Amino acid sequence: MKKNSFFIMLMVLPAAVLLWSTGVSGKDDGLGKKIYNEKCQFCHGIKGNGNGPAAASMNPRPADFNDPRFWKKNDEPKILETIERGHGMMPAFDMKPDEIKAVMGYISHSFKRRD
Amino acid sequence: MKETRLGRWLLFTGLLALLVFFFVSGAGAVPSFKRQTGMSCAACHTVFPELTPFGRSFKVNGYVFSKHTRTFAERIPVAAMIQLSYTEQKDLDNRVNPFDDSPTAKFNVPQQASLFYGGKIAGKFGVFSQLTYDGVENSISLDNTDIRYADHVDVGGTPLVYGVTVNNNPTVSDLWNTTPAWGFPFSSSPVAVTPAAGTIIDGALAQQVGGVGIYAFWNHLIYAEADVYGSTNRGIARPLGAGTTTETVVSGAVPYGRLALQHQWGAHSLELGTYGLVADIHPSGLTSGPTDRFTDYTFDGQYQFIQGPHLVTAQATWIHEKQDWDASFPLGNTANSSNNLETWKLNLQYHYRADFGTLGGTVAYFSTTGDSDPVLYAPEAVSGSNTGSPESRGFILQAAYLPMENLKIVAQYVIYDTFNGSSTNYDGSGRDASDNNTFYLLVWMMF
Repeated sequence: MKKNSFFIMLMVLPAAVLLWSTGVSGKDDGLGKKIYNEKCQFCHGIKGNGNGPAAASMNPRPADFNDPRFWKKNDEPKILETIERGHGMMPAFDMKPDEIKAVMGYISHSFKRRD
Repeated sequence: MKETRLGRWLLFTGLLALLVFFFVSGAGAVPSFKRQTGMSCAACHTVFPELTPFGRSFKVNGYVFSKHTRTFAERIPVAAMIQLSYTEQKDLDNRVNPFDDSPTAKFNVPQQASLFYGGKIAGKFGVFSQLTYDGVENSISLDNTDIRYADHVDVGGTPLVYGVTVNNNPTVSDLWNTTPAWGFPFSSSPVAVTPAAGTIIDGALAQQVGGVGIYAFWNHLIYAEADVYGSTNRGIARPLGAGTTTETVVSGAVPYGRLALQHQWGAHSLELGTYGLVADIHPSGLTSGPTDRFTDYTFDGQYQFIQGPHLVTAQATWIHEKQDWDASFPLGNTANSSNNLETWKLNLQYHYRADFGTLGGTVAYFSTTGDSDPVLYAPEAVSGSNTGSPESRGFILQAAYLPMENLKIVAQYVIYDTFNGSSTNYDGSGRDASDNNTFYLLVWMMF
């Protein structure tokens, strides 16, 4: 069997082009919600209750943003640090400052109970 | 010859074009899991392919986490990779005949090129499957494949993840990087001479068998798995060995079991576990009749520390194999009716995630010892043993640099203290263990 470099490129190039062409994301409104749904809901859940699809395999469970105790223990700088550096099973997220601000605003407005 | 050189030029040009895509586009092409989840590679990997705790969660849940909520995969989850390598080892050019008549066996361009189907299929079904072109063997075959269904339930208030796996390599479905399918050094020279002795569970059955298994992960604490495999030489398992010649032909069913304990506290995680299998294998060249029996059991452990830019991993694996030569001994292929073989693998890794990329290194120790068998480990220039001993040991020193998260550059040096039973004149033809010291340079790109 002759070495077929064309076949190699036939395998690799179309895949790379397809992936590149579909990997671009655009800006839209609701940046915080968009980021949360893309990156956070796996663990913290769509409703922010710490019951996302990945939560079942985690111990301790992901933070429940509906729980007032979370907000008592975690101020804004601590949440920022957790997002940037990770914590336990939670990976670090490489986000721009405006993206972090947007997702923190979304979590606070959407899930934090105000009595 | 001309066609080969033209082919190489075209391949270089194609690869250069891909690299330009990377740097100019900015958005870049991304591996399929990353595209599916919207997470960066660093969410699931320390330094690929090693998994983080979140990466293990992604795998045990069947590769289905997605930023999209549709039942079927939003897009076909395809990815690709290519490995280019360079090897230095004494007398390498005299031992390897490149199929394309290139002047040296040292450059492997490519060493390997692969297409992946990785991610959600539909619902709770997901897959990791790799189709590989081997640039040294000049062949295309189905590589590691792991097709899963996973779900979870609450058991007395504690979570239980359970699933089914169909795969073609014992330990490919495992979550930790202490097992042969996903263990350090992750990649090594395809042309350097390596020790003669190795246990069956240490990669010998990859794509030689296909099977089905069930697993469960309770409270993120206890993991258990049980699989049964059959030969890809025939029957229902045959598709899982597509493109691979089944040289290690097992007879009947090969049971495999795995048990692991894991504890996560803050930035630390610790795993301790065991796994093993029993395989009845026909002597080389035979596909029926009497078999030899290999009974392997293993203890392993992994510690990870992931905080901020610091990535620390320590891994240890001990494998014991009992070899009952019920078929080979009567044939005169072994001197003993049974042998034992034991392997140790230890490594310590540190990497630092800086603004200019991830930089780090690994120090590893390996050792294989066992019963001498002058027929099984016979003298032969370069690859044989003058003493009939399987003993080999040494160190691996590796530096890695990732200028971007899907491009890894590795410099690896393998140092042999003992090779096939001796430090000096191990093969009876004057070759020393240190003559097999290997320098290996690898460029590994994921698309």
